[in-house]
Amino acid sequence: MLVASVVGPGIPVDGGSGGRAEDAGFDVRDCAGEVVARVDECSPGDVDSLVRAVTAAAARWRSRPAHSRVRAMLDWAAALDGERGRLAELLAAEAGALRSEAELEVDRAVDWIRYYSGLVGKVDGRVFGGIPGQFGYTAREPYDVVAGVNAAVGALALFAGQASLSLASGSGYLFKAHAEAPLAPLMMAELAQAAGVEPVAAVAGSTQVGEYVSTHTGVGLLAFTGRSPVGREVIAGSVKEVTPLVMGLGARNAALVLDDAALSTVVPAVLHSRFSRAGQEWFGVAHVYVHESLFEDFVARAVALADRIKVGPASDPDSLMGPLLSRQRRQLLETALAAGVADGARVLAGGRPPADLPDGAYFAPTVVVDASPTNPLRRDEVVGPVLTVSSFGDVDQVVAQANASQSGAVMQVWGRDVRTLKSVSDRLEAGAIWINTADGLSPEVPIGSWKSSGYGTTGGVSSLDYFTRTKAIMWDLTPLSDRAPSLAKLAHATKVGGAANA
Amino acid sequence: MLDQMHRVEAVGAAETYVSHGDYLALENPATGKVFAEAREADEGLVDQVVSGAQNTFRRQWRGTSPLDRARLLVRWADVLMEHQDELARIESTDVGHLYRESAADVANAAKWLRYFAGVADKIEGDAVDAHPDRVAHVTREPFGVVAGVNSFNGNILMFGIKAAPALAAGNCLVLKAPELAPLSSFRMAELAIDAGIPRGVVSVITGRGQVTGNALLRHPAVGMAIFTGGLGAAKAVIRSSAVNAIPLCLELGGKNAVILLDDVDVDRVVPHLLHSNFVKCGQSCAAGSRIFVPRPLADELTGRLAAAASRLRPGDPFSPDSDMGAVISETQVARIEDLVNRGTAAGATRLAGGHRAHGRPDVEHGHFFEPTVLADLMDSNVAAREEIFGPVVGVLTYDDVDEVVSRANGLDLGLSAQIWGNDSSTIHYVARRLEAGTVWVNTYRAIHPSSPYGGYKHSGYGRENGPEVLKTYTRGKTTVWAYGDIPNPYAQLSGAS
Repeated sequence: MLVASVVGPGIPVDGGSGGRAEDAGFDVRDCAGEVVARVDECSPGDVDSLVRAVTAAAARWRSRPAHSRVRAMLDWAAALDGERGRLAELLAAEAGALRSEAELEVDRAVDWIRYYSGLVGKVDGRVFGGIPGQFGYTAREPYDVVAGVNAAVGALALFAGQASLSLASGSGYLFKAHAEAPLAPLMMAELAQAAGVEPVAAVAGSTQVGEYVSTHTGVGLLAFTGRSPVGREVIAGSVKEVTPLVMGLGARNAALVLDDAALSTVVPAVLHSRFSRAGQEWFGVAHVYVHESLFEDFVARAVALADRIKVGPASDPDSLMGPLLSRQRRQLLETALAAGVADGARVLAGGRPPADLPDGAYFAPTVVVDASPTNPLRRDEVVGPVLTVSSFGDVDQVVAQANASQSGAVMQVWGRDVRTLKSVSDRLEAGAIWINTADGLSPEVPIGSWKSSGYGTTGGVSSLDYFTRTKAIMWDLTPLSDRAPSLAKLAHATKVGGAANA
Repeated sequence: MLDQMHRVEAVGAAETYVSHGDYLALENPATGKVFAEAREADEGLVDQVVSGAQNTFRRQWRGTSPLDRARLLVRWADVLMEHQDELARIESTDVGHLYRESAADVANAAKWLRYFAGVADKIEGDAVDAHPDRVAHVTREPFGVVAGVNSFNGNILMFGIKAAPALAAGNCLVLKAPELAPLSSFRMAELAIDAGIPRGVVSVITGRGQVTGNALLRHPAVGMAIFTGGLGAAKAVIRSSAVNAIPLCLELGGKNAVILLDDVDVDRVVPHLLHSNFVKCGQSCAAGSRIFVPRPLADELTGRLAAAASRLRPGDPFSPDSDMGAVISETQVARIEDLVNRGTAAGATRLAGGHRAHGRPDVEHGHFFEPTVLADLMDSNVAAREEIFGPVVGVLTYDDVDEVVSRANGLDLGLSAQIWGNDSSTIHYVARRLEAGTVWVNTYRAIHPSSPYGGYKHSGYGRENGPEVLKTYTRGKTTVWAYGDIPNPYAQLSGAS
């Protein structure tokens, strides 16, 4: 049976695909390459209808009383919470998530929706201070439809963050699911519909469907997370409709371990940051700079820990790291690692698929040293469980070295001395600085990247700025009869001041 | 008028620049004479200027206190006003605006600098204390070097609108002045240095978009860019922004609807409707070029518009008797003429003007167009769909409010709109539904440093002005301090080393 590729307002639960031949559609495979489900094809016409439907649903959403919208969003969050078991199964099958990882992803999604439900009806504008004779104010208005095109791993949290921001702003939201991992997001959209969150929709399909959605004339704002080369194409595609963008691009996140850091805490935290979701999360750390006084100890502990991390499927409750999304991704990782080794890097742990799991997309947790700053492993966006480690002596130099990168998403800093931590975090050029934690994500706090890692934020009240468009309304309250028009020959009376009719 | 041939290179951190780009000839649109030339900044010169700005930021400007930045902005404003006449003369010679229009731009630029000087030390962040084991701070930091690109129709004011928040936020600004008319921008930057702003904080270059604009937008030291100009050039800007994934603010064109309600004072509103379209010869993104009039008032309105328009004279920008100055170029005049002709061919009625100005000595050699009124426009008429950027008023009739809102929103453009009338319920109803970044009620062109300005749809995104623009000119750094024990699944794995 085909899984419907379009979920949205007014669309029947089976997507109307009943009766369509099985050989239509595309396969969703698990990490070993086995088919998990077949998803129906999505046509441009389907997208057109969906955008229209979401636009209409958003207009109805805006006219509902605030408490009713809040209730619907909370019901959606509760439904996700309640269905965590089924969602975890889907995430395990299509995205290789371990049970605990899937639960965390669902928890994050629930938190996002609950947080932004509280801002419904609170998106306010500003009244301008005294401009003589004028009354001016801003209204922060929604877009008809916000579209999200996101990475495959962590999709539910990205979906929830972007959707709930859109809903709080009064916009509709359309999630374009990654072709390799659409099932859990599609279910998430179904749960939204069932909860009465009408203007949330999802569509699954190929890259072409993604392009069609992201350049659709009915889409007012596009949120994108993914690798930089794809992101650049998305920016180029935005010229079609002059679409504003919120971009989260590939990053080479790093951790700085200062000389007074406690390795017993730091090593498990940093390794988990790298190996969680098999190194496929955008906020995971890729490289660690360790103070030279701790370097040997850090590397020894990291190698010992990496070797103890059991790799396996979600079905094995002892698994501590799951597979990559696909064999292709493993192939890319192996190629990247080989290039790194050819350039002088040394693999101290892992570096190959686990001996007991040669098939599928499993890869051992890998620790690498001696990768110079120009080594491909440190220069490129490497997706997978490979952690590079280097040592430093001088804090100022390592800050400068970290800042030389065009990447600017997340920097972790580990240490105890307050002055050093403050000085380092002040100087680091990244949108998110996490001190003594490998997971600083929470919906109350804006998260966004600097430099070539993107722009725009989600999280916190201030991110509403990115998900609304400002209309300024300026009333001139002086009577027309009192005004001197600027064309002197047409003047009636004497001049009155005010805002510049320049 | 400038008596001697003027030549400009670049203003930036260095005192002089050596480069190899061509010199672009600058024409006085009122006389048709070339009177100056400007170096087109090639990639090499762009790199020199942007790198210079970056060095200035790192070595000096970054360490300047907000209060000192504020004092310098105020001083720059004072110096601009001390040179108001000179700047207005340069601008009117270079662009063809009426002298009084250029002089007003100087006063407004100073106003913007002073407004943002007042908020330079008020850039605050946020603190979030929602969890028991951590605290988060969001601080706003300058990008370093930001790029600005201006169109020719508001050089002095647009420079102020960009420079004021850029500098207040602690950035260095590199401005690409329009290649058609860059001189006032160069002079303003020189005056910034005279005011004590360190060299390299405010830089100006010029050149064509495909040469200078591309190089500027793609330079790795540029952290963000604000572009004012047309849709075609904006697309190139967006593509350039992809190279380093920099955020953009785009201020593009408009075909702005003017909705007259049925209680409008027809007689008194006429001069405002005309000036909205004739100021700077209609070369304004805010021109209210689609006037929607209720059918019962149409004849009276168009009659009055035509009668008033035909009393107005374009002429020497420096003559107080001129009601309009010159259009920027022959190319533009030809374009205006073409659109008017196509408009009338498609059924519009020409009630006033409609052709190049001639028959008087002061318009003989320059680029002048008569103030023009077109009536009986249909929504499908090209003259009602495309931004003319000339002194052309277009009048359309409507029957009911919902219809006119739908038609006003029927274009891809959505920069501004005007509503004229007295019934506040109707005004609010309409204002809410218009797809435009600014809605003016009983006024036009009312911009103020406090009022966010920018477009919907193909008129762009991002907003200039308002204290919130300081967020556009800074990047937010979120620092999360964790101070509890945060468990993770590997914690139990790592025993003693």
